[in-house]
Amino acid sequence: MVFPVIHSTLDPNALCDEIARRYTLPQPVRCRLMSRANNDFYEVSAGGSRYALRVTKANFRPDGEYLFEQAYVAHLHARGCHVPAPVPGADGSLLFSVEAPEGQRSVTVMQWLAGVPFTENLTSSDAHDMGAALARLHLAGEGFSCAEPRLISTMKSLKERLPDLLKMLTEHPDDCAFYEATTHRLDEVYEKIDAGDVPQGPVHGDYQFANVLRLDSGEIGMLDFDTCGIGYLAEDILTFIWRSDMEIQDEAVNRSFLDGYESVRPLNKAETRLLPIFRLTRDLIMSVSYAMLINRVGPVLGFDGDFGPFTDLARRHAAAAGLD
Amino acid sequence: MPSDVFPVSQSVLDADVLAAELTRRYELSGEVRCLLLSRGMNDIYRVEHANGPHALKVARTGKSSDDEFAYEQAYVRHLGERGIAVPAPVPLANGDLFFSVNAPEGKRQVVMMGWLEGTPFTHTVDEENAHRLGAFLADIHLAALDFKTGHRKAVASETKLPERLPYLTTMFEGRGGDQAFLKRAGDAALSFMTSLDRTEVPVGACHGDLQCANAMELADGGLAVFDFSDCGTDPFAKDISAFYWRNDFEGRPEAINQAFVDGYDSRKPLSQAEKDAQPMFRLMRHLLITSSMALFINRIGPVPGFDENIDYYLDMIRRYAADAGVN
Repeated sequence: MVFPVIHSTLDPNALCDEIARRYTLPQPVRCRLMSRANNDFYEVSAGGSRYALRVTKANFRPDGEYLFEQAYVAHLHARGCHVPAPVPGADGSLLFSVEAPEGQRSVTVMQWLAGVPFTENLTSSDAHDMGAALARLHLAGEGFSCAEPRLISTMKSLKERLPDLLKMLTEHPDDCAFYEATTHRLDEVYEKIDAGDVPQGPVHGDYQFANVLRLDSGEIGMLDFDTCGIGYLAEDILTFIWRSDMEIQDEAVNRSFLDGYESVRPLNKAETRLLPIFRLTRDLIMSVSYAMLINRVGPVLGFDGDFGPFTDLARRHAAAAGLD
Repeated sequence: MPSDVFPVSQSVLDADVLAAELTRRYELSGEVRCLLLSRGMNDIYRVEHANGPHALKVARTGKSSDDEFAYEQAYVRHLGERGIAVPAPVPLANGDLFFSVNAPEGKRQVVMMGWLEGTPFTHTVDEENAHRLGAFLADIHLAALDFKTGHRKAVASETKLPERLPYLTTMFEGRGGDQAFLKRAGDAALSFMTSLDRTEVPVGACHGDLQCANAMELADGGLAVFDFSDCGTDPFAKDISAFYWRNDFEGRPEAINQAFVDGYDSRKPLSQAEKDAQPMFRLMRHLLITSSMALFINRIGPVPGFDENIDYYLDMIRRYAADAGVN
């Protein structure tokens, strides 16, 4: 019997053969593993050109959601955004699937973006540029439609994944009670959001500094649209803030990011009022998602197993949102 | 595995199924949970259960034969019996020290071990702690002097280097001078190893990778050692070179290396031949580690700062090759 596995690393040589067969790329094709996490990324070189290749985690999304993602990225690229546009295969398809031991995984070849990802050392000026770029991304998303819309329901995901976090924190009953009660309160707030007041549209879904590049041209590039979908535009701002809260811890950087965003797309009153709620929701969704995936990827760099700082931050933001 | 399943180079076992397997094989009672702690060449879990916690290693496919893995477990158990703080293997209900599973990429050995409570010994940046760790390595070697086993495992740098060096030279495509240098350095290190007089440079069971990241300071202030994946029979004096490599990589001063050697020498004096061999052992270590990274990069993903800064590694190899008389 083959032992059940939850994640695998595809053999790069077999992947090369598959790419050479499915794409009309110049020979020789080489694949090199660049990063191994929830999704695995490879650098593909073919005839002097570079591409990025993503192999998604198995059994996480239906094909339709990946098709939405690639269509959205292709749309953004056509609108002038610096994103890794999917490279069509010889048959015109933007992705294909392989049967890995743990289940079906989706594979996409994308254009290579030449640049350097931002780190926690980014400046307020960088944050301003990144905020403005996110707003342009939101504006560029207007008019995008897809036969199978991928709808983001943050509360649905939060409620589905909460048990994983509670299981991880069994030795901290006070924290468990906080997370349960806060999720319940957030659910009530989301129920009351007037969709007419809070604009929705295609969003990146994970716009944090590690997914943003300073391109060699000096412009801003964006990566990793894995969690994109149709959601509240203002909610999409808070992933940057979440990562910033964890690693930069400088409100001036957060403010600069928001200023940059609003310099391109000013927030309306309802959106501004909801920012503290969306900030708290982002804290919780990241924590529950981490708990759900921890046994697939292993500990995350910089997280030493002490969940206390995450909980402290969420408690602080719950108080700021009036939900403590 | 069905033929339509895509070939894989590495996998992560399902933690819940693993917990059930441990419950069955070790006859554990109550709830058993496996938490993935690290995913690298081997995967390491923390096993929580009524009589835990324990550590669990799932070895990489092809890293060791069963006989070599048995050597490793026997060696670790022996050191534990001699008073060295190690994560000793916990016997299964049938008395074996490990078992194997068929992962999609091939057979992987699994061993449950004692849990070491302490903090990683990463403060060897000062000479005092380097001296302490050097003395500890000597104690480990002294404890191994009466180690006997019917199993066989060699550190086998002489076998691994010729296999792995081509992966490194490939990374210097278009740089013929560097490729020629690496081949020269590899040939010199191999020639030295094969001509080594084992009577003057004694051989025994060695840890194979004792550097600060594989040592731990326990709550009582003592030192513990873990990760014996690279252990095996080798010249004792060559075992020092793992510390050099890490220290060199971190850019720490030579005085730290010297303090480590002094610490070792204070417990287990080095012969002149062992001292004379140090520059070539150091070169061998640099060549082997860098070549191994080049080989395994497609299995575990990039090592931060490796492929984007390969010249840093090449510079180290050149520096220590020069020290060993290879230019």
